[in-house]
Amino acid sequence: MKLNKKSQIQYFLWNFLRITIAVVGLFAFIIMVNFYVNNKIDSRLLQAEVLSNRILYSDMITVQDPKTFRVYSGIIDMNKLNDSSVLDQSMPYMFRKHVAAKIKIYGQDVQGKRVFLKEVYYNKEQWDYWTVLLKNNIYGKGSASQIIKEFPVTCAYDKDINRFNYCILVVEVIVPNS
Amino acid sequence: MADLLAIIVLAITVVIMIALFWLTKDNSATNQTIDNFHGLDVSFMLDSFLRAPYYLDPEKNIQDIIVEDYNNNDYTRTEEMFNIFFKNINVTNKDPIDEFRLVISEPGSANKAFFCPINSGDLSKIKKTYISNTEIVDRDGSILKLTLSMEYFVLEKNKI
Repeated sequence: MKLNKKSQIQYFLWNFLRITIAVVGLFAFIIMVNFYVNNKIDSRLLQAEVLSNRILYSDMITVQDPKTFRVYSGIIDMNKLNDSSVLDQSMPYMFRKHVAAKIKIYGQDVQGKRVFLKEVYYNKEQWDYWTVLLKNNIYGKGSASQIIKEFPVTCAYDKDINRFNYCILVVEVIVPNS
Repeated sequence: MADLLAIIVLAITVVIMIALFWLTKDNSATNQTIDNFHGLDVSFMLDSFLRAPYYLDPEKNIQDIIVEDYNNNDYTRTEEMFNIFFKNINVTNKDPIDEFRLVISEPGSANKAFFCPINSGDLSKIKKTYISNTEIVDRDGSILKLTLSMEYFVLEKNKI
């Protein structure tokens, strides 16, 4: 169908209007997405930091007064670490692919060298999966990010903290990239 | 003609959309929050140090030893414990080198005691500093005695 000049201009003007409305609609969509999606904070590392702090300050691995329930953060109860599922029991999870962690305790020999003492995992199955990706330098949305932190602590072998030594607590947390 | 125009406009809009998302990406808030968490880590280390029992007398903790040393004006035991406790600690496990400094000061006084491997020559290598402050009191009263600052430095590795 051939259009005359007047119809062509009318057709063009109508299309111009339609395109303008579509552009306005698209920009409204962008503004709304920008408003609701926070791309100012990368929450992956924050999740890892929060879990790390939860392990450090809770009663999961630290000495706790049985009467007052006071937690002595910085003093590790080595008897608690005999149970390899202590972290899983303290922080039960429904969704396996959320976060995984490992804590390691090192002592020091007379020459000041590190001596491995104990390690405990949180969500070990997922930890093993993610560790393979990280060791092979596989990046991207399907991979994960890791933080490793070290803290000087006291390792207590009884509740009264009569038997103890000075140790290094290594907290490793892995979070998925997506 | 109008279809072509629509395609061009749509393409431009998509490009602007991607550019907007990319331009509004800002890591400063993330870095600030991570910095805050590192500050918490230093606080934990200071608490852990002060709470640790003294190996020669488990009835006392390091905090008591610092107060005793302050009263005796001899910080030998504090320095010894600081060196034992913070040996082999590498907080970030990354390229930079981590160093710690304990600063003991009397409120309202210029007198300070430093325990650290950092000397004035190293100050140019400092990339970042995190500080945690706390106050300790003498056991025989609630009078404020000392202010302790734990400073954690991240140093440039390649300059050392």
